[in-house]
Amino acid sequence: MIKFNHVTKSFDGVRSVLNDVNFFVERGEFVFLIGHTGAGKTTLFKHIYMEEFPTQGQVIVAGYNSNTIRKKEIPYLRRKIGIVFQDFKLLKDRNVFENVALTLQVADNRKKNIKKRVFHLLSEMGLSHQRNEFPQTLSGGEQQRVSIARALAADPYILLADEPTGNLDLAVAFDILELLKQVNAGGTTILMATHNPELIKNAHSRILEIKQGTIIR
Amino acid sequence: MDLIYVFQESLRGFKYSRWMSLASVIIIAINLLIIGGFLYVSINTNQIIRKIKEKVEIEVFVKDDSSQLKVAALQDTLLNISGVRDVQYFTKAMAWEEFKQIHGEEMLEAVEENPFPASFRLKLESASQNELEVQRIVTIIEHQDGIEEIKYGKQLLPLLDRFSRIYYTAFGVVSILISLIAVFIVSNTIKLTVFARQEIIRLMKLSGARDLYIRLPFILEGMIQGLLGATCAVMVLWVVIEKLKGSIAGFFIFPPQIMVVLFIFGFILGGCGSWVSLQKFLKL
Repeated sequence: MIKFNHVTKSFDGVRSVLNDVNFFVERGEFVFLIGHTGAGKTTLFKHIYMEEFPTQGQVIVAGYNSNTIRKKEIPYLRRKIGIVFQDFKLLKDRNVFENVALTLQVADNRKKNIKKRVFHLLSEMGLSHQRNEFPQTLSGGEQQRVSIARALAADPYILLADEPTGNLDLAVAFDILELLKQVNAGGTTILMATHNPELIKNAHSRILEIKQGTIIR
Repeated sequence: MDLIYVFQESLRGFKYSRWMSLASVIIIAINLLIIGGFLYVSINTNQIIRKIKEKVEIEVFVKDDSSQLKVAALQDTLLNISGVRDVQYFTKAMAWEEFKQIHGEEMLEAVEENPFPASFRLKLESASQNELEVQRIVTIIEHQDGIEEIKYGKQLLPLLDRFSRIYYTAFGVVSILISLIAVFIVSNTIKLTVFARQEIIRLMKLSGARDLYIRLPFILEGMIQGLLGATCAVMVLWVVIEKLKGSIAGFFIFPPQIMVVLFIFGFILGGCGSWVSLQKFLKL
């Protein structure tokens, strides 16, 4: 599903942010990506949704190869990937329903289908009764649920979670992790970046560790 | 593509960055006002040049001893010269009358016989109202029989020609310059409104939106701003021209085409401005 093949990324030609990165994530896997701030986790994610391209090597995601993908194919790759951010990135001028619907709108879905899918997701996330509320009135955990619902709206193959619990307290963080595990059980491949050791302790999932741009585990 | 969505997003844009949108509208209005004012002056100046040029005529004096037959033949020949629109025959008696009307009867008291020759007055097609063409037509006429003298605005024509050449070049250069400056300023102002919404642009890109899908609401928003700007510009221009009416001799025409041009220009300006300013934000 995701394959990094000798990927090196350098922005200035001198210092490498990613250094000969090799790994493979199978379909349906749940993988943790751990490492300190600045280790290269976000840059690695950007290579997956092809906002960045390798200086050397290649990235293959859902059948798309970073060396051969055409610019107009990138939107279609991204529709197969859901992204969850640490700071949720919810739009403050839209309510919960509209925030979740955004992903489906941009993929040219029909209005009727959008409504059906969003209602279904909100009920799964336990957010049905908050669908008309605006993000700033929700708690951190609720906001992250909305952002997960948005990431899942287009039914992606892969869910990238970039420090999804970074802004939440531990109890809520475990709730979110549990939610992501349920999503994974439904068949979605998940790559989750975190630097919280508590979360990975009993997770029984594969761990990739990145340090100064190099995968060390 | 859901057009209702595009329209809703554009309106949302207005709501979201109210002050920047207002700034955009004002800047578009000022630009269009300059362009409109310039167009207004140009159209009127052009009208004046045309009117002067229309007065350019060639006067062909006929020898006194020419027979009627010869005169008729000459009239036919003159009418058939390309570039000549109209030929009027002025008999000796008519020339006498005209002189009397202009200078008064006293001037002619001492004169016994009518000294004025009969003449043809040639009006020219607008394409031939320039020095080169007039010279060509005069040369053809000179080769005809029975002609006493040919008169035309020898001094005026080159002067008018030079003036219109300089004027049209200046008009072209200044128009292009103003338009470029306008697109630059408008795109920079719109860039600020886009900047305020880079978060949603990024989210849409990461959600797999095609560029056109992201662009359309912004472009529509720019076009609406352009139309609002044009409305302001037309209103101000109209009021100013109404006030000026009569104070500058000859400047009175406010052609409705100016309004149409300003609306179209505002529409394009707003649209292009958005397109240009979005370029940077879509690279991701």
